Amino acid sequence: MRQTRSVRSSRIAHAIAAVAGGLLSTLAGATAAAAHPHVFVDARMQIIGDKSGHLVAIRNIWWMDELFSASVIPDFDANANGRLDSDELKAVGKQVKQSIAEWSYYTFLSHGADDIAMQPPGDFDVIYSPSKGKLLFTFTMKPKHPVDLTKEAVTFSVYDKTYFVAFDFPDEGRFELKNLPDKCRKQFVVPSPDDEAKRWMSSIAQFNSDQTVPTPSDGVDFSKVLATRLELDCR
Amino acid sequence: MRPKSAGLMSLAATGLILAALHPAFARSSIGIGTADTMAEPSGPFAGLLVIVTLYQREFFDALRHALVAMRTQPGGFLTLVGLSFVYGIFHAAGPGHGKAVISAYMVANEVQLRRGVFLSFVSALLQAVSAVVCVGLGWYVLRGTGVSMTNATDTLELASYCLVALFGAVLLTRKLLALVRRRGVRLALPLAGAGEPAAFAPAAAGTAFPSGGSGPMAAATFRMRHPSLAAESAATTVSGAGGGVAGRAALVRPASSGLDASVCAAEDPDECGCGRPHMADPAQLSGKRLSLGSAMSVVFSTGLRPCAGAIVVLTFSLLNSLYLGGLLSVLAMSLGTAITVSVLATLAVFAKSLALRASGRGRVAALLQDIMEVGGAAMILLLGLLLVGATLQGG
Repeated sequence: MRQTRSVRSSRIAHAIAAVAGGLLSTLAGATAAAAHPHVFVDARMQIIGDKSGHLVAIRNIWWMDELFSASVIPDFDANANGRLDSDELKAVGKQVKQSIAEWSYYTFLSHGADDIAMQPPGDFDVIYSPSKGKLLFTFTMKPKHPVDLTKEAVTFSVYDKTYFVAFDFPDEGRFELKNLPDKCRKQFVVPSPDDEAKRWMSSIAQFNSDQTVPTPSDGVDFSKVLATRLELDCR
Repeated sequence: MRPKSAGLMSLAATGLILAALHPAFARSSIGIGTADTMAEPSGPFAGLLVIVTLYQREFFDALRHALVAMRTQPGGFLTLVGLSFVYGIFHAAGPGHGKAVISAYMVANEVQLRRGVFLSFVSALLQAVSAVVCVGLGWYVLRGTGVSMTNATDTLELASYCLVALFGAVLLTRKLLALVRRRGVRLALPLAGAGEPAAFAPAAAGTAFPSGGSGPMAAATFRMRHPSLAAESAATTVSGAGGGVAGRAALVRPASSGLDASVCAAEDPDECGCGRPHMADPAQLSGKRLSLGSAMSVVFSTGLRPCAGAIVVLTFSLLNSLYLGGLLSVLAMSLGTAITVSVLATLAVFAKSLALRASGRGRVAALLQDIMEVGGAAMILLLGLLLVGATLQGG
């Protein structure tokens, strides 16, 4: 009798363990989603306009971090001389430009809730600085349709929806205004990760079984929420 | 056939789930380096994951700075190793299929805690070795060949995911076959009738030992649980090692002679059926027999794929002649990873032993258990297919 019961217990134990394990697995599986950045960019953006207050172009200036810059070398050192020559740097630029096209070149402009469509960049320059041990990417994008900055406030931000690349704009000066009317006002917004995390925790705490966890619970939207942005008002 | 239709059903279900999920990104968005394959996160853990992600980022950032600083200032090993270790802990709590495979494997099987922890450490170590091999290959062999380090890591990633799917498929097949056999036992019981224990015992034992190969293992299990009776039947069970018939005869004997009253005292014959297979649960036996194979599957499917963080750390170290720093950093990362995965595996086992005390009874519980066991195996298969699909789509 005792044995029979212990066998049953072990079956129940199995069931409970299965549920627990299932939960853990779900946690683990779902986590495959929220990747974290492996590439870090010291970023700068030039916002170029004209005296009439129209947006002419934006220019991205990205210093790639040392680790990423090093990891590019084995992949692109075609002649195996241990450094990237100019044609090899061109190949890097071609690869990156082609890849990030899918992600809107990580560059997002909007007024209100509407995205501002941009043209693909023409040139994509890649330079390697041996003293810094860093790659420098620069490219310019123009708006597809005229954007009158004196009519509506425009938000500029740079982020990777996949959260593989992290862009850092440490201060307001990293968004430079060129040839824009003097009345333009910049508002530099740095969302606090801690606040966002807290907001998340409280939203989880209020979560009832009959409700779905509200979006943006996914990492994709989170990258946008956490992105530093510049709100430009020339009205 | 029942196994066939069950297999078809699970395939159909898998297809449906795959179709419902959004394709994820496999290649890194920037086109250089391999990103962690992603799927849309959801569910009650989403918030927690976001926090884990934030910590990961912070620690990776700090470890990156520590490593870069070593280029100009000698020393700083302790800081680097410490940061790498903590990063490893958070990284394992974040993206990755490793802990999913290991915990699901431990749920689907009777696995000792020690073994689960051991598997976690071995696969984490393999992941570190895999990163070292990838970077070494990338720098000394592949450079200039047109095959890049990114290609190599992409290939390893795909191989790893294929292994997960394959392992899940094998495990699921085994579970389903075992399930059909066990359910077969239950179907046979009502026919035998509750009043004739001697008549149903051979039928039950016959289905419980479907293959001759399980003879010796069954004998061992039997000896462990019935030491007094084992001596009686020892001679015949040993001879049962070669063929099933002798083994069956020996194991049927105690049930049909001395034990008949205590083996099945319950009124419900199904309860007896629930008690019977423990003597030689085919799933458990095959699980033990294939332990090395499944352990290797777990290790390779979780450890073959190097993590992107380890790759960039090692490449930078190699290019800046910080060999020791790079190696120590990656080893510390894998140690941290192993600890997190072990903790998760321990939780699974702890839940199991805790539940042992809070026991219940009835066929609903048995059914639930079957569903969960098969579910654990199916989850591994699904995860593997999902990852392979996402990788192929992204590449």
